[in-house]
Amino acid sequence: MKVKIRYFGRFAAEIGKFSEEIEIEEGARVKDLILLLKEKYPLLKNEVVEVSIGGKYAREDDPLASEISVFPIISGG
Amino acid sequence: MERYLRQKELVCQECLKNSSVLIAGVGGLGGFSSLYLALAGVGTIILVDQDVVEVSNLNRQVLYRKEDIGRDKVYVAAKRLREINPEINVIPIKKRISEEFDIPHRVDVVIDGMDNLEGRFILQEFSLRREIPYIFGAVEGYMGMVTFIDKTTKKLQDFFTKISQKAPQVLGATAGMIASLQTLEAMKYLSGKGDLLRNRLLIYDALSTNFMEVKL
Repeated sequence: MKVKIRYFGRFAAEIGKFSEEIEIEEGARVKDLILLLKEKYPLLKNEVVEVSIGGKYAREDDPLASEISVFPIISGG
Repeated sequence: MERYLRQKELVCQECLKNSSVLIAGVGGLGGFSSLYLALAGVGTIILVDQDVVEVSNLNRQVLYRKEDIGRDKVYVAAKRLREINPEINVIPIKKRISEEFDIPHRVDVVIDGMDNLEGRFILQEFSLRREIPYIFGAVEGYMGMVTFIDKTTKKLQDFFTKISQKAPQVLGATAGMIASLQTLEAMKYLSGKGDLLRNRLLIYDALSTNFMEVKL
């Protein structure tokens, strides 16, 4: 299945793009996508990757959808 | 009351005057939110921070000047806020937000101006213990996020992993944007107005110019 990903914050800067479309196996879940991204982009290897699907906070076992957003934990002030 | 003439239809001025807001961390976020709360006439503003002003603060922390370097942030901030609005009560407390953090003052709402996740979890616990709202805000680079937490909502641990992070790059304008959103949430809450960011994490990414709301 094709998944359009929007990257937020430092993830977009590290990856060098605000969005992209990737191919992942049918029935894949959020955790599968996170693993794939960490393999594809070594800069994300030690990151906690948060995901939003359909405007809702997604958990690792949630199924993917055709459009998702990916964002980092931030802590500055 | 002429000072508040241009906002009298927007907020409950009497409610703001009788309110006490705790701002934990008076840096990029807290300095900005304290400024707007003072201008709006919030009766009591309690500032908590243990740091001194450093030269690297001056790109984003609006209350400080070069002459303030080395001085305690809470005392400099309190002086500036009293100059801006002599009608309000500003209470500076030089203290670290640690596990045993507590103060004897009445607090109606807590605004997050921290620069680390550990402190934010402690601040959230303090607020929940007091049964008052905690308005979370954080920034990094061109990005920031904000949400409204109280006993009815999801908590930080429901959507955040407590991890240590190094001091990030932060633009003053990003901090100002997020602090503004936090301040508006506080003023709405204290005035009994509008819809609050309960169970909604609002993320702003200035680099792509996008707002995203994540339902928690």
